[in-house]
Amino acid sequence: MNTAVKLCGHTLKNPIMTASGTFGFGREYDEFYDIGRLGGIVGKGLTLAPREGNDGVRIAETPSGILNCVGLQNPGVEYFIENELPFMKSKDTVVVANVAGSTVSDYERIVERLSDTDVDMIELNISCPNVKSGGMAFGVLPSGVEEVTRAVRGKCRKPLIVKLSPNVANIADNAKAAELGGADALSLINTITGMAVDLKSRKPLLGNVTGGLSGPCVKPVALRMVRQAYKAVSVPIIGLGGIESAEDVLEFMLCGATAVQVGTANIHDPYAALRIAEDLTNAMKKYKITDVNELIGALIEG
Amino acid sequence: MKDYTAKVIANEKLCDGAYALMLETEGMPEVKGGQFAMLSVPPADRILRRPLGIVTADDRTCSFIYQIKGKGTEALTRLTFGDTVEVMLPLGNGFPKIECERLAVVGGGFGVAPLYLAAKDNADKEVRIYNGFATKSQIMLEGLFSEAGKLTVCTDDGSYGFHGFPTQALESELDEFRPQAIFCCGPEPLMRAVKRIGESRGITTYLSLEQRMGCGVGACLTCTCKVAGHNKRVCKDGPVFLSTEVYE
Ligand SMILES: Cc1cc2nc3c(=O)[nH]c(=O)nc-3n(C[C@H](O)[C@H](O)[C@H](O)COP(=O)(O)OP(=O)(O)OC[C@H]3O[C@@H](n4cnc5c(N)ncnc54)[C@H](O)[C@@H]3O)c2cc1C
Ligand SMILES: Cc1cc2nc3c(=O)[nH]c(=O)nc-3n(C[C@H](O)[C@H](O)[C@H](O)COP(=O)(O)O)c2cc1C
Ligand code: FES
Repeated sequence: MNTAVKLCGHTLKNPIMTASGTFGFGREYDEFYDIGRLGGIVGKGLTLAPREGNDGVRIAETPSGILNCVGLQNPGVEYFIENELPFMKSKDTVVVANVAGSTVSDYERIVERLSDTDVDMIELNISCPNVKSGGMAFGVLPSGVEEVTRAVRGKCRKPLIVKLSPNVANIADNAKAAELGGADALSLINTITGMAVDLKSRKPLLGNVTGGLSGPCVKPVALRMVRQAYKAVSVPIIGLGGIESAEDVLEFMLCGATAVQVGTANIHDPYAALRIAEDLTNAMKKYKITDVNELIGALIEG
Repeated sequence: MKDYTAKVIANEKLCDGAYALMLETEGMPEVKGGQFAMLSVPPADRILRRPLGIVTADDRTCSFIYQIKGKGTEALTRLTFGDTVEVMLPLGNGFPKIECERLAVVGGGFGVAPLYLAAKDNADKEVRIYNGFATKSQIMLEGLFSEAGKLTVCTDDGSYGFHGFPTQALESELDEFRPQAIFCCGPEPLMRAVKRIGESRGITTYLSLEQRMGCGVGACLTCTCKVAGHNKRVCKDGPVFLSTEVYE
């Protein structure tokens, strides 16, 4: 049985990666299991300078999901290169740096800096809903997506993944724009913007008022968007949004994903990503699949 | 820290709105006073685990007290003998084992949970414990705490023990007891009051903070609070912080 997939010139031993922001830089979960057993690991979103993130309550629960408004708290790219990247690279897995910025030039500079390191791929977060200035602006309109992707492409000497926001009019247009700008792969979806209310105080529950929805409740939206993006572009797609089981992984692959990321599941089950990776061959057996690659995009429609 | 599938061996009502839960599992690790656990709750659509302070622990069992707050803790009350719970522990830094002769421990309501082990960890010192509750029927763990130091139970309405807040009980003994350190866990107003008392007297004071949590292990950055001007993770860098660094 084959679980290995090829992504931007790298071989992932299985299609399971971790989703940015839910896995730190891997250290915490490496205490539970060897994170080298995963196909890939994606670190917390990085910015040029360290960021404190949002104040107040940053997480809320909703049926089958959570809302977060961390606001890109991170130690900055230099600290990452010095202190976190060597640890990640010491693991037998593909290492992805996730980056964000407030201006096109921020994105260019951080990607240029990371291109000088031994990080394997760079994932561009142009869709973080929790940063007031920036992020969102690029991710919403296809023109913005293309502009920032093209600018970054010019500076990027690593495979470039563009992570798409679901908070847009037409995901296929944005996927095409990223491809046109020069993306080597797409990942989707980021969180869906939502809100939670505290009846007692009559105030928003989250410090940032709005937050990003994730977890099992977003999976149907994510599957739909992965499918639409898959039909619109020819670059590989990394699917994510609510993945909790090996069956979920196979569903995303059928819709068009070459690899997947596990996010919120890590937060409530420290073994989630490994459990899903280990369970993959069982699920493959059950559905008579000998090579996961045969699934990619093979959804039978109409 | 490790994640265990533990068996419920007791889940009993302590008083109105409060339960005590005891879990059993093989190979329970050593627990420091002030550390906590993340417990799964029964409803399948409630995906986050709930943080609870560890009241007691040995190599086979651990116990908790919890207040019915919302959907998760409400569902916890329905667990019975033999049910299983996923429990990750021990988490957080816990109270330090400090060098001094006299330690004051101040708890309010469910905040008393992590203080028993914290007091026991410091059994080589003179420990005085001031635990406060709203009224007599809400008093918890009196027997347990009286083993860990000289206990003063306080009630806000005077229906039992010292009439007043635990801070008032502490203040009334400060000149005579002269504690060199204070440990506190409880509602924010209590912790702010203890911070004021400790700092005005130059007593090293540690507070155990509460924040909504996701992962409990330091990875998701959803549980932060301001510590010395920077956002720190309550689950990993805390929950216990020096009073001088928080509530500014
Ligand atoms: C380190 C730590 C130790 C704690 N120890 C105890 C203890 O020993 N006994 C006890 O009764 N309570 C304790 N609490 C508070 C307890 O975690 C909450 O009361 C509980 O999570 C509420 O869950 P719920 O499902 O009933 O409420 P819901 O409102 O349904 O919960 C929704 C979400 O909000 C979170 N949440 C709601 N209120 C709080 C709160 N006050 N603090 C943190 N998260 C909250 C829940 O965990 C959940 O993720 C502790 C909190 C922390 C951070
Ligand atoms: C607490 C938290 C923090 C996140 N931080 C980031 C981030 O820094 N950069 C990013 O691109 N996505 C971030 N995300 C989004 C996830 O990577 C992922 O796209 C989303 O949660 C959907 O997947 P899931 O349902 O499996 O969690 C974050 C999500 C959560 C829950
Ligand atoms: S709860 Fe995830 S970092 Fe503290």
